[in-house]
Amino acid sequence: MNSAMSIGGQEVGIRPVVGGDISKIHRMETAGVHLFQLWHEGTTPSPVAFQSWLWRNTLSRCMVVRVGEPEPLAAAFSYNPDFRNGCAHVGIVASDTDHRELAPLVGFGLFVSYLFRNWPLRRLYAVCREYAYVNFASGINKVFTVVGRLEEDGYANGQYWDTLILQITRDTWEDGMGRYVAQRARLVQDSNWPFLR
Amino acid sequence: MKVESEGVVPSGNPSVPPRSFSLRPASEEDGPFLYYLAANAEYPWVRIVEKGFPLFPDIQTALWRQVHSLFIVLGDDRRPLGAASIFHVRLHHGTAWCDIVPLARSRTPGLWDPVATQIVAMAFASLPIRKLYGMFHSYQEPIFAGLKEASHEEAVLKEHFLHDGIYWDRVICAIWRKTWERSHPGTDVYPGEFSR
Repeated sequence: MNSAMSIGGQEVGIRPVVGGDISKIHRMETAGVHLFQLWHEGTTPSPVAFQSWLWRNTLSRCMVVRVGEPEPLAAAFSYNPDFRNGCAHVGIVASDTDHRELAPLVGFGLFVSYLFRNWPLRRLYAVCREYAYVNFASGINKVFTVVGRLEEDGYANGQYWDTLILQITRDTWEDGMGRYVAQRARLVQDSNWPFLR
Repeated sequence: MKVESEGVVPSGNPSVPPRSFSLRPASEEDGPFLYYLAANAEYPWVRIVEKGFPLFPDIQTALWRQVHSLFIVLGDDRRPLGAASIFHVRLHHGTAWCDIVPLARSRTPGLWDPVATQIVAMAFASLPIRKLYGMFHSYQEPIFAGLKEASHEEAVLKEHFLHDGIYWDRVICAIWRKTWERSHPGTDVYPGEFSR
């Protein structure tokens, strides 16, 4: 998983979650608009319940970081693996200050490549509310396709919002974004990661 | 097949369609029938077996996970023909899901449309929801086949579900309460039970 790539002058990488990251993920997922995302739906999970929830049905989790900087930019995760049908769900939550930046999406790209390299998945699904979709809508038909729109499915911030079901297929990924990631990604020695210094 | 020989599964001639149906809440005694239903290789109960068939001691937990109500569908001879359930109720968002699982031998065209009507009516009558979802795969009859005027498709996950060696599309459809009330006005699911 320890891989990184340079893009736009930044070197962004992913690394596994370690103990000290749990409280950071908790802060990310409950900060600002993230609290109203699909996972917590406005509730405030207790730290104890959160830790148990965090690993339930989880296939893999990683932190997105800028190489050389200690604070993670985002957490990417894959859950509900279904190897019978060759699919899993993916998601990403960025720290509140970074959720409009490119770097978390670069990390997400590394994570998707990591998933396809390590598990025989045919496709990945991501589920999001339409207000979150605007942050990565530019990837439609290049990185993912929208396969479903559940109209006014969820309530947040005083109104009902559509829920979108997005799909990333292995074929599309490997022919497009995955190739780009493979050409640029490099393995990072553990000693380069700040949390191991 | 041992279960079948004990009479849990209907043994009537499948070519003779039941004329009517009724619903009753599932009870502990229905465990073997529900287990048989979930394990039906021709027509598996996807909600239960999608990620692997649960062990026998765990089947009750799996059957009732996130379930609001689970009914046994009975034919006119009082034999079980299948099951129907309302589950994953999210009152915060005003949504719920339903599923209908017929025994393979009971997949009689025309019988399951009134069952779907009854389940949809019960969901809207007993829960303050705005919207009810149903899911089916392309090898099955659409769950709301008889409710075309009230339902619509919202998602198609192409070649999502492996069944009998083929990947089938998964279709998610929905019925809005306002559409339901317009297309099925005055549907009384508990006749005579409520009055002011």
